[in-house]
Amino acid sequence: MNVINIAHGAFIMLGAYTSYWLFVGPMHLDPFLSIPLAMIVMFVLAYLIQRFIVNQVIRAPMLATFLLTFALSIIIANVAQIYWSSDIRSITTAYSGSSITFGAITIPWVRLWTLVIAIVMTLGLQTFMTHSKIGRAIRATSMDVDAARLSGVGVGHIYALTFGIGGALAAAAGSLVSVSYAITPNMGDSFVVRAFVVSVLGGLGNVTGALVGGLVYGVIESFGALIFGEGYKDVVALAVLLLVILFRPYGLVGRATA
Amino acid sequence: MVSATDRHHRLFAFLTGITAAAVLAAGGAAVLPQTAAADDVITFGAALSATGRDAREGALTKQGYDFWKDYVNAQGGIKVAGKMYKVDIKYYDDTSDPATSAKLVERLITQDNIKFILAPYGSSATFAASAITEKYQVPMVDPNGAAEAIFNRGFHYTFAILSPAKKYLQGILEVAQTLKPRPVTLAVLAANDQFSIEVAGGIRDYAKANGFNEVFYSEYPPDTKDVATLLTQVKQKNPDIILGSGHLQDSLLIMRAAKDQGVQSKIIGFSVGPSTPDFITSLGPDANGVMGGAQWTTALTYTDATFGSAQRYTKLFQAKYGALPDYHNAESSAACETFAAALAKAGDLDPGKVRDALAALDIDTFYGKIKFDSRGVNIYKPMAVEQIQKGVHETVWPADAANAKPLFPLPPWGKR
Amino acid sequence: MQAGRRLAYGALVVLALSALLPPHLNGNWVHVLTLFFMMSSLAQAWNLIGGFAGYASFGNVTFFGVGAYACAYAMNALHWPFATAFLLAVVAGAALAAVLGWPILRLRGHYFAIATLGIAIGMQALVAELPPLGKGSGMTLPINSNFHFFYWSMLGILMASIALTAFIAQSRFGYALVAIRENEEAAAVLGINAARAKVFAWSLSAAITGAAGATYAYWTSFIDPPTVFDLNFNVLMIIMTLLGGAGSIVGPTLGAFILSAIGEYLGAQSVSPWHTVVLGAIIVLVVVLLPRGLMPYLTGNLRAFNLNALRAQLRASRV
Repeated sequence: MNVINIAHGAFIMLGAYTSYWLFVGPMHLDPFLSIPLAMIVMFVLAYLIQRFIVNQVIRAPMLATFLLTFALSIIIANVAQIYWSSDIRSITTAYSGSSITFGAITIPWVRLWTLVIAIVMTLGLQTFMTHSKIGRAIRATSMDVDAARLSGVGVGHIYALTFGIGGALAAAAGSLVSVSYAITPNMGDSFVVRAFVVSVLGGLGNVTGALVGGLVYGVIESFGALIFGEGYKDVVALAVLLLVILFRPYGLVGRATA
Repeated sequence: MVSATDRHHRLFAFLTGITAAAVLAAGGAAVLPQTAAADDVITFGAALSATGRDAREGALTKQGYDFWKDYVNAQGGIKVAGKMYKVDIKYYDDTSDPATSAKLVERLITQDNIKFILAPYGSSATFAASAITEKYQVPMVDPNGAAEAIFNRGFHYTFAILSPAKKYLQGILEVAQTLKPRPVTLAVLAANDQFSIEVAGGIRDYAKANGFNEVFYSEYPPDTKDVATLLTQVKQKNPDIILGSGHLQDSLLIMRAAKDQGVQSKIIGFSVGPSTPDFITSLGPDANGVMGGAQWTTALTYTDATFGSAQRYTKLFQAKYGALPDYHNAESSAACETFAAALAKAGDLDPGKVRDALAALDIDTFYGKIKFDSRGVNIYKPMAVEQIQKGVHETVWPADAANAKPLFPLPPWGKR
Repeated sequence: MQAGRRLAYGALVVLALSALLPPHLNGNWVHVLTLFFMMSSLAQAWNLIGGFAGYASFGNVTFFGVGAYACAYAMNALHWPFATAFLLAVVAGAALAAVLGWPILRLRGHYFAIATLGIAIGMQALVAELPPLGKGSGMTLPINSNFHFFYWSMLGILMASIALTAFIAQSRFGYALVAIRENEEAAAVLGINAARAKVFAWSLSAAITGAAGATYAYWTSFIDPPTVFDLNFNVLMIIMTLLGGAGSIVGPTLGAFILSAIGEYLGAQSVSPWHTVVLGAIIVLVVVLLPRGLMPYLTGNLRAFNLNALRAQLRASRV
């Protein structure tokens, strides 16, 4: 959709807090169960943000939306700090830390379920994008706004829907990381850059590519850390990113024509 | 009907207005009379992290400063040369950026005419600020910047009341030497930043000199999000002791990854993290048995003239904020107390004389004895070791102040 | 462009006069202005590649960090005087941009942006692992507490970068860059060697950025990877340039001035996070109302500056 959303990290943070409040609240909702709720909340918020703010500049040069979402992200993070304080919070469930062992390999349950949910969501989104009417409208708008408008697509609504879906997925990510990471108003910052890198690795505008990109990135980081030392993991991962961009700019999964 | 020209004039006026307002606001501040402090108020200045990465630690520091201020003012203030003064503290937000810290300290000194600086949170920010206080020859008391590098530049105006970085984890190995069977093998994980590397360097030297066997050492990027790879490597070495030198969030990550991977050691300890309330609330029962180096604990028995004793400080603090003070709170209050003692001793509000008084100071505080060496480092200050037992911070070292026996070896995960 | 040049000359005169200020200012204002000159220089440098050539670099902060480290290494380990260390930083920045630019500047749009972002993060991680550069502990430099020196140095860098931009704007090279921004294929048809022009523009940009980095390192006398490779610097360069007007001559400096003034005013008012929230809200307003920056309104004829034109522009940019 040609929008660089810096506020994605802030959305992840809000998703994590949503799960946190539902977990400590009277319902004591498990973070995996609060994913749908967090997604709905963030879908609505992201939809409104795109509809009433970002849509105002969507056709201005690419950097205008970048600037706008950057400003939104600092607003969201700091308002979160004002109301929720900078206290570090976490969610510790009964199953936190339990894992499943295959021989020498230990896999924490939380990570395994995170992977399963990521795969399910990717397949769901892929199906939605290719088979639903809205999904086709989104793809049409992303190819050519004017043509889409002429064929009767309400592009303002479609942009907002797309942004809303992005927000909902960020919220799901936030709920998932809330089980493993400290929850703070600034927690989104370090995820957002990795999210960009991963989406380029997979190929921009490619749904399954994002999943593959994420897995590849994680594997490269881990092996980079093992072979060259923990400090070099970012260097190795980003060197691979550069090579991919230069030699396969359409991503690991995509085709040159895509 | 409003004509188009009219409209464009209005819009132009609106935009010029915004610009002009901003310019005037900035320029106006430049020509306004500088903050004239009332005669009977002594104002301290501090640039603290209210936002950004260190917002949590900055808030703890501010709490410590404010607690001292309110307490002392309720007592009538501080006495300098026979006269009672109320105290005030002017704060700015350095947004957790050392360069901004330096800038705001320069602002406090040259714009707000403040002669006494309370240091920012953290080693990097204190390092940046120390160059400014040195230039303007204004004394700064530092409760939170422990990196030795700050004090190796021959500065004369920065005074640190806390133990230097290399001592942070030493207490844990001192405890380890008293335990049976004595743990021997050691893994050290350090964040790749100035403070954490100094901490790790100190403990590695100490380990080598005292018969420990280092089986694993690795640094990790300071903003790391995943330490699983690191912990799988640690697991293969199966060390008796795991020590982490980093910051609160890293300590939490390492604890979670250790549990995920089933890494079972006899001792696990961190330089920063376990002493904060957040550590226990975050990890729940898994926090039990974790040791932490602490600049101060509520069990220490020091006494002073301001708060009476560490116990009384704890009680008053808890009454006001509803939480036990952690060592960041205590050392920050103690920094203010140190400043007040130097002011009383100097009997003068001249920064140069207060600086000389700080250099010659030798006092007891609820935080411990304070006397500075020629570099401005507190020579008396020992570190304590806390261990979390049944969800509560217990002091297990030094032995004469301990209120609990160390829990050793660590029970298996799930039984803590 | 005529009006833009006149404005640039005006700005240069004002800046030249501001060289007389330091003896009359207290330390705070010297500090604030020095930072303003630095941020303006960084924005002016970003404008060369991001504004003129239209390549949104998220990696310009790399050259700031590399310049800072080159200067620190030359002064600390090689015991060079600042002047030669400074030159080393300029050359290091330009050379790095040239080497990286050949492959990277073939990328467009988001791909170029993400690739440069990757370079910035990767370079920070790499420097944090190199023992001669102090690893994560950073490096100290000799202390020079004559802060007026840094004021004049940063001012000099800023004036040089504005003069350079004014010169480029009316040169064949400048037209080539604009042609590349508007339509790279068409530019190639016109006989413009796009690859060479882009790499040259990025190298100039990097040289200025490296110069600012070197001066910054000597000024603060201590650097470590997170402070000099701070992505916020890069974000600020972009915001300032866009606020003033990308592709204009002194727009970036104007943007830097407005943002610094607002930040300075708000930062001095309170310690609560509200000041950051207000800053964010101002940026939102500016972007929505002036998505093309302020400069077109100052240099274009005033007829273009009316509500109808603004409405038309806003209508064109929304969906």
